[in-house]
Amino acid sequence: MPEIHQPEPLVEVLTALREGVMGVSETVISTVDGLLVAADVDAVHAESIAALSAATHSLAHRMAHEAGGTGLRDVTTRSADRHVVVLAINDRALLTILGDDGLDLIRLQHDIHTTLAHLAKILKGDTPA
Amino acid sequence: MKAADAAPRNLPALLAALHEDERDAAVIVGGTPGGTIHLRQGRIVGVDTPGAPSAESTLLKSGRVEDSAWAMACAASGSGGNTLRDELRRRDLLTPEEFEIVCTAALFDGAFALALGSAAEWEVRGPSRPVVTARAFAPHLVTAETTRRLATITELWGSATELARTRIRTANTSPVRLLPRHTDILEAANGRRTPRDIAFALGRGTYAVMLDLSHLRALGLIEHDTPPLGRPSTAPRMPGPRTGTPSPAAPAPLPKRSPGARHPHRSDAV
Repeated sequence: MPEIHQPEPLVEVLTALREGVMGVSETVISTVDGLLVAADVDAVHAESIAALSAATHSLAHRMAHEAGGTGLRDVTTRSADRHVVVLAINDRALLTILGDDGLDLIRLQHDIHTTLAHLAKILKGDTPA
Repeated sequence: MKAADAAPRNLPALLAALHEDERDAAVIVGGTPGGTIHLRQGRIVGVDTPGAPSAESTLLKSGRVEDSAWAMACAASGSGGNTLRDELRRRDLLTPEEFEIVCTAALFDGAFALALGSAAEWEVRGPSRPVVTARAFAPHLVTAETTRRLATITELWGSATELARTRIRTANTSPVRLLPRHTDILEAANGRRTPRDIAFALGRGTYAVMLDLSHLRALGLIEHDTPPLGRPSTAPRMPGPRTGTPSPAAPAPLPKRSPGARHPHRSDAV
């Protein structure tokens, strides 16, 4: 009997995001302290992205606080040919989206709330290690 | 009443009406990919869309112009009436002819990419100044060229819309002699990228990449899966037309069973 491949639910959500938004190339879910949870990657080193995402989000959170801002929404890094967007899924997890310079930001902003809600729902079942 | 004020039936009709009225405008097009068509005096000067690399993207990704030099030329343009074209020439980065070719290619490539979406909704707004523009084109010229491109891809590949959604991977075949641009595409085709993704990765036009993919497929050098269709409809199922009245099964006698005889298990019978 052939084995039925059951994709990891988190990766399924990440793949749907990549296929639904033009320009999304790779995605990583990490804990806020930099551990890799799940990834849909091809060329990047997922563990490194996870660690850097935690540091990036922490710094941006501190910067926003220092500037008198509340409720950090996302951290976006733009280089000549890449976009990197780091968002909080919940208090314990981050989603990092890597895209090319043509990333459809309007569509991403539209779709991202549903994606974050799906991921948060799946992660809600996590028990303390 | 001006021509553009009447409700146009489609995007080309809207652009024709704006051309007639010689409007300066930005037409925001919805859908995937959506985008913005920039008009000056009713003529198209640029098309921005996530579906195709811009002139800036092409120049930077291909390495033709360095990022820092480009940024400085952009910052300097506009002051004292200097255009970006003038600044690029003054800094020996691009000749005006090169600049015009790249901008024109990006404009037509953007229009082609927009045509791959549904373009079911649009909104006309006031003009927003696109930084990178060269020549302006009457909308009917852009529409005619886009139609020609769609027909070319349809002839070479099949549905252009389907090709746009297809993720391409290199086939395991023996190496053959290829042009460098074909080799680049084979290296970029990793099974996760669509033609648009490959175009952005290489700094080339989406249409040009689609043409090369058609050629590579004809050589058997690339493979692809059929793009997934949308989810199944939840609408009530309608019975399909019957091709004929099924004839009732011919009456047959029941098999005889005798005690002690071996009867095959259902799975053994396969």
